[in-house]
Amino acid sequence: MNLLSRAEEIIMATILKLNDNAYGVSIREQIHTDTGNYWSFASIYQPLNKLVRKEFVQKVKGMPTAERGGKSKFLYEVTPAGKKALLEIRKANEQIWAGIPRIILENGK
Amino acid sequence: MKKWSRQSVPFVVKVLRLFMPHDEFNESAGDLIEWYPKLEKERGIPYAKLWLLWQGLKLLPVYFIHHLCWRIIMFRNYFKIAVRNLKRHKSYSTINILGLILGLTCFFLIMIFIQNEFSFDTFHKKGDRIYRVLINQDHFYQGRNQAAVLPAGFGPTIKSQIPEVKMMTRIEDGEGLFEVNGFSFTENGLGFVDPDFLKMFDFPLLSGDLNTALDDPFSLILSEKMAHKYFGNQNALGKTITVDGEYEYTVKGIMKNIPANSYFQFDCLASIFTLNSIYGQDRLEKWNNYNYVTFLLFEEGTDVTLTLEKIRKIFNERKFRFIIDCELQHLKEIHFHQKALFEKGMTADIRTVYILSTIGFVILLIACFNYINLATARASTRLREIGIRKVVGAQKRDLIRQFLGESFGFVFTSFLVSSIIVTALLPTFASFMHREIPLISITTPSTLLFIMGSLVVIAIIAGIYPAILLSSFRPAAILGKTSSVRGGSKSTFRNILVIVQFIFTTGLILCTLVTNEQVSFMKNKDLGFIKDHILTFSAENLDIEPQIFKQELLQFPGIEGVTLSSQTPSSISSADLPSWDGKPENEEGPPFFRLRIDQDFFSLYDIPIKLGRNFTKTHSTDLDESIIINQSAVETVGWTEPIGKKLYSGDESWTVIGVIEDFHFQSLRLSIAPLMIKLSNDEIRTVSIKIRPDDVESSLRFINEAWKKYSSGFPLDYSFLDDRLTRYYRAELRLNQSFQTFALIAVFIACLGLFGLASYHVEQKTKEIGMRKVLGATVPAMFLMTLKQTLKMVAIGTLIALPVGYLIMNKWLENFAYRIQVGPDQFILASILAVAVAFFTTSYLSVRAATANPVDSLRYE
Repeated sequence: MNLLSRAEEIIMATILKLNDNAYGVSIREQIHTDTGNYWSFASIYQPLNKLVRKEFVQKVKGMPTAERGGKSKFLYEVTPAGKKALLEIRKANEQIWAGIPRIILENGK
Repeated sequence: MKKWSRQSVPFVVKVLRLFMPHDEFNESAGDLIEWYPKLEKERGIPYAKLWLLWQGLKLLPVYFIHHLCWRIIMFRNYFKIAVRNLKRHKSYSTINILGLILGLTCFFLIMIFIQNEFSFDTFHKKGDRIYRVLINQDHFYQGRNQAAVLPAGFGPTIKSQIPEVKMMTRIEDGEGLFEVNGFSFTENGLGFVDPDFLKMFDFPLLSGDLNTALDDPFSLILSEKMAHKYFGNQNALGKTITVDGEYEYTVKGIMKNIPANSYFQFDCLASIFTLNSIYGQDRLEKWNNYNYVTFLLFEEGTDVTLTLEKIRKIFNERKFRFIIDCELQHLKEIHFHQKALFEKGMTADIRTVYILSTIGFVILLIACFNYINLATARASTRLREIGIRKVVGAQKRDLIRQFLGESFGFVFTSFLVSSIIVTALLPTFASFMHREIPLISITTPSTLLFIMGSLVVIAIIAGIYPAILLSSFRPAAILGKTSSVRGGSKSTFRNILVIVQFIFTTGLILCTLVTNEQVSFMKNKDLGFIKDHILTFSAENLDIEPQIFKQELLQFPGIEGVTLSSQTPSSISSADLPSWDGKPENEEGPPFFRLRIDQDFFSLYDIPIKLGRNFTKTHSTDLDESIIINQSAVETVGWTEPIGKKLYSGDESWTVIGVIEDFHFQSLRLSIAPLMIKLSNDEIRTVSIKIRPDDVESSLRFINEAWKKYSSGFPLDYSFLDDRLTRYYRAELRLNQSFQTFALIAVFIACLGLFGLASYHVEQKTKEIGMRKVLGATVPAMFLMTLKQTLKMVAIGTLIALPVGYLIMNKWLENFAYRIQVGPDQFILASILAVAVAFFTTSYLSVRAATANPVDSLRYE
């Protein structure tokens, strides 16, 4: 069983967070809010497309808007399979981080 | 929110659109466009633009590879379909490829020739600093007043007085009988040059020291060829060659054979100081012997105009009789310079380049038009394929890529075949144009680049219109109905193409007819003297007086007549500026050419004496005081009663005793100049022999034996006058022939295209013809109907071509003082030929269609 990569994990979590409004720009904005970094669009699309191919994420075509120069918006949703993958990695995370109190990291030794 | 209109779409977005699949492009472009305004507000426009660029760049690599993979996959499909298409329409494809192969072959042959012409003298490393001196005379000879030769003393004076002239060489050509160990040969590729010659120009020596090889008189440098000819495999260095029976030259060096694309075409070089030893000690310091082409090598960074002024000063200090000015000519401009008289090297006519390149492009254009016509005409057979492709998701640009790819494939395949043909034909073509073009010259990187580039351009020109046309078909229209022929509305473009092809065809036919007529006019024109069966040679090297030799020759019955003169009627070149009573003071007037003859000249050459009498022995004054002039001289002076009038030159004066009809002693390009003819006993060394035509062989034998008796070993170098005359027009003849060959090929290619197009049209009409026949139409009517279309276009093309052709041909004919007129008969003939060509090309098909059984064509309705 392969775990999700970090980027995939973060993106899927962001999609869940954004509820019904997950698309390129909003994902980028959210990731910035959460991590403090701006990811380039390319580094969002690539994992995103992979997730779509793995059928963890679903892509829905929206209507064209003027803001986007007449281009349509594509919304993303996490599929049940995707949610399952997320659960797995969350469990794995908890296991990995269990037993490492925050204090050790903050001490700097 | 900023609204992005179509015009302000950034460059990055455009590039992305090319590579990314439709949906993904929309998505990323949309995201970028949405994000951009915020950034612009926060960080300013330059930052925002840079950000856009950066984002775009990061998106590219993935999709680039993705794109590449798809391209490869689709390529296999396109290729398969293209091949299938070819097989299904074998005849059209063959016609197309044949036309392209012919067109490409001709085009590349011509381009190679032109490239070779422009490569002359470019291999000299110091070439950009080498100039030569030309002089302008105050009168015209053979229509020109510029000469390439200077007196011998000039060169050294320039070199010593002008510091920026680093090297100087004079060049005089020579010939002689070369003899080594009893093996003798007349060589005329000898060049006398200064020692600087080898240092200025890049003619490397295989052996010998180029710094000293030409320092001493009688030193000789042989080309590899000549060394091998006289010495076989031995080392020729240091050996002796005897020239003209008396001069012994030592071989001081062996040079690589001079390449064909060089102004200098010498087989061997000798030190110019030899001339001092042969002709007198100060020969090379004299200022009155205009025999030497003089080249100068300047220092780097020399101001040429300043140096020219200095040279002019030297000139003006010396008061020359004929020369009004001098100029400097750069080495690279020499090859196409045909204005100067007395060239000692090889020059060419740039008009050949213009004419050939034009026809090369015309041929290529016709081949491309063929491709376009055939491809678009058959568009309807591919409608279904296009429709399905579009339905399944191909974009317009994919289809364009497919069809453009097909045309590229066509062009490159044709190129493969034509490159083989070009390689095979190159030697023949080159020798036809009197050049040597080694194959290596084609394989330089710049040439290959040019070839690749031109192939791409050709493929695009040929393929772009069909590609765009085919890719814009609507699937609904195609797949809905079964056979909607989409030919009607777009056929105006195709018709225009055919008309243009016919303009070219008719134009070429017209030009061919006219040039043909002009050349044969010049060949066959009555020159005013007899030229058949007349043998001429120089009596210079005879041990006896020419008059005695003449008497010997007259003994033989096969010889009808012999005359002695200073030159043959076609080689008269020496001129004078005589004056006469009543001549205006300051005018020098045109030069009067001079000829010296004996009493039998006019009767041998059958030149009628209009007024007065010929020279006779009875008039003892004839030898020193009488002169005969031609009609042109009479008109120049303006005498009404020429007999008895006098002409003066220097201290001499002569009385006119007779006037002859004008005869052409120069090229037919020029009008006949004035000529003055004197009787002479000692300056007449050219022998003209009229031979009876029934037994030329034995007369020749007799002449040869007589010569051998009195010439102590010098070979007899004779020629027939009519051969010599045709050689004057060799350049014209050659150009004419090559033009005609290419014109024929162009017409052939146009016919191919017409044939293909016509057969397609006819195919389209078979149903219509079948139905009409069922309703009662006659075969001739059907025949005419199919023919009408073609003939209409031919007519239009011809009408346009004729006036244009007329103008061009008239321009060309202006070069000739004696020329034909471009008249209605050539127009009519050209039009008839063009129509005939079109007719024969299409009539077979029309007949077949008209006589087809309606049952067959309507069977599968």
